[in-house]
Amino acid sequence: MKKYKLFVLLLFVGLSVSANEYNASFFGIKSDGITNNTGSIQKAIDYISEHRGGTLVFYVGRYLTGTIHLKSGVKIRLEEGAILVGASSPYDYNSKSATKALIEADGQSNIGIYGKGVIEGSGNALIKNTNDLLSLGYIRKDSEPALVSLSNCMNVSFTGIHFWNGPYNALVLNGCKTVNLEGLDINGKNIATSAGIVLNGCKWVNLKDLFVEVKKTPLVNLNNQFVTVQNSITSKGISL
Amino acid sequence: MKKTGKLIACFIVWVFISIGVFAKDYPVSGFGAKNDGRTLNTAIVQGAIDFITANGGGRLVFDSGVYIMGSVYLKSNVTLHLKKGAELRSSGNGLDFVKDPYIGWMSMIFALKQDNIGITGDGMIDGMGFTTALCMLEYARKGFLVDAMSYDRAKEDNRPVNIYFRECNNVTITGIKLKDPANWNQVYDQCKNVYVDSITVDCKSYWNNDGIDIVDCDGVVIKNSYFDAADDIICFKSHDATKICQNVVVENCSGRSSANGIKFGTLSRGGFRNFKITNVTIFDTYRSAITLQSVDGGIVENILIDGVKSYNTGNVIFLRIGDRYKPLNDGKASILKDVIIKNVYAEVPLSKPDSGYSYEGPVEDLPRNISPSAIVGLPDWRIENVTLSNIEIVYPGGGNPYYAKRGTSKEELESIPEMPFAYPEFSQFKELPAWGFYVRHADNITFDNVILRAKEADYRPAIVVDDAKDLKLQKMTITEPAAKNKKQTILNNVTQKKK
Repeated sequence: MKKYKLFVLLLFVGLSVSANEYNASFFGIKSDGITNNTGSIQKAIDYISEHRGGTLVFYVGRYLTGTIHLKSGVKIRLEEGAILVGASSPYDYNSKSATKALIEADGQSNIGIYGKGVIEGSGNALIKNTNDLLSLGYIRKDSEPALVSLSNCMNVSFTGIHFWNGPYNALVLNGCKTVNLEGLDINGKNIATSAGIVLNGCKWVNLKDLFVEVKKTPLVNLNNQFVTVQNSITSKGISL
Repeated sequence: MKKTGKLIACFIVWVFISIGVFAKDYPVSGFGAKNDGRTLNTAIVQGAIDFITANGGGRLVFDSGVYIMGSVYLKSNVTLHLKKGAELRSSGNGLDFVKDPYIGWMSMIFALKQDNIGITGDGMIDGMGFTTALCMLEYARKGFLVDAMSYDRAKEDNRPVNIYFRECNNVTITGIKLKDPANWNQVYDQCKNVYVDSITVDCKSYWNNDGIDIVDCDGVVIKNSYFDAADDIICFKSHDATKICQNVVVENCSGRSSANGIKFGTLSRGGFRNFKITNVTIFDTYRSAITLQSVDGGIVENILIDGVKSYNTGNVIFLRIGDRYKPLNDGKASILKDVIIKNVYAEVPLSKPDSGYSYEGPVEDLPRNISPSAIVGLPDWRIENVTLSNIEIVYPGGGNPYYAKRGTSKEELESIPEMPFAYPEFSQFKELPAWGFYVRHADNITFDNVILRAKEADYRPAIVVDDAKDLKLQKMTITEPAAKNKKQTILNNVTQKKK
């Protein structure tokens, strides 16, 4: 009997290891570049986080979304050719955070996005639509959305991803601990207000193999402890 | 080339004669078909086709309205005639479609070993591809459809095309609009005498939405047609190593794609010969306007491409020999030779050319600056006898060595991977060392009156040729801002023909 229980236990351990990868379409997420997937992607993240964590996998395609919130234990893998496309209406950036973003997290741990895919900010369209709504008086001036904004998170990892056409900052990290940003390509050369990475009050941050081509500041490094920067350059070849 | 022209002319005359012979019309409503957009008409339409073929042939005529359809088989001497406003629309349910056991694929309209068949008129065929493809994926996930669901989609043989004709003679496709299949759009496979005129293709509903696929056919005319496709626009394939795709004319066609414009390949087992492609316009296309690929041990020869306008297209010309199927081919060489490409004007953009279209091409093979046109063989299997004349290509330039760099020293050039087994695409080598043209393992290549313009300075030279015999560069014009003393042509291990 004891042996049997042990076997069942082992089986569950085995399952939890092997069953933690989910394809995007399982949650009804569509790759057509037209369907707004915000609700489906958020459901996927919530579901995976509530079921012992795992990886949400996006294969080649364009996945349109508004603001999504990363949750503890959930990694997103963007395979080559997969693009998370930011919606172009400010109404889709529905957030109460100090720094709005397409991808947000507050107080979460073991989170990250990796792969060879792209996070596309649709910056010019988003800026234009925001300005149009501001001039009509339909919305008030709000914080400038980043592509990724993380606050008070632990064990954060972003590797290999291309961050394209962010309207403002690409990544904003406040008070995060143990952060690995590696092999990222941040490109905002077509956006007049594009900027790179903001680190504020973080501890143990590793920046490695980054390429940053933006119009404003490529890296803001404030009140941080133990930040290492290796082999990371701007488009002019200057070290970060 | 002359021979091809004559053959085609005879064939056209023959088609007109044959249309006249079996002109008896049968309205489909007479068989009980409903144009209400709800009734599944599959069995009724099949009954009508079977009756007409058994009674001397004729046209099955669809008046305006929406006819919901699953799979039907077209039979000899029957033409489906879709009047203006008539639409054959997929039910969207994959289970209404047959996977033909001989062909191995699913289709709305099949024909297998039939003669004198056609689809004509001003009507439309709509495959409802997005709905059908997602339906099949759901079935696969539930487990009653066998499918590995790789890339998070149902595989190609579980997604219906609009038309699949196999081993048919005298096929006429005119006037119709072909929309949104779940897979390729229309396939003519081992058919003889295929005549396609004045069709409109609009297919951006799902992966693999090619405009038209001609597989191992003999005697094909495609003209006066317009294509807007997520995958390749006009695509010639050779699935069978004992067959060949030959005697083909393409003229007055235009289109855009999130893949390639005119493509030979990818499957290129037997090969392609005697092609005349004239007056084509390619725009808003993600990959190459023209790509000829011999990557599976086939022979590609005697190809004339005359008159290409290419606007806002990511790459212009990509010729490639590969060796993907060595075990299947017993080491049979892939051959690509005797190609003339002339009278080309092309503009390559800095931004993504297919941006905003549904099912955009995948961003891949990064990091790389804007890729050049390329002619790339293998060390032992060389591309031979290619003439490029009267060609002007405007590139954006702006290649940044800090983003991606490939230098032009002998060591750097020879370290570019050969990639014989890789899927062939213009971007496959990632960064290439030229901004205009890259040539490798190719003999007797002639550039005659070729103009390459860079709009902005680029760290690379315009042309790099590595390992070529009898290269001929004449009347070359190269312009690049602030590049007065820059060496724009780098030759490594090259012998040149006298001018």
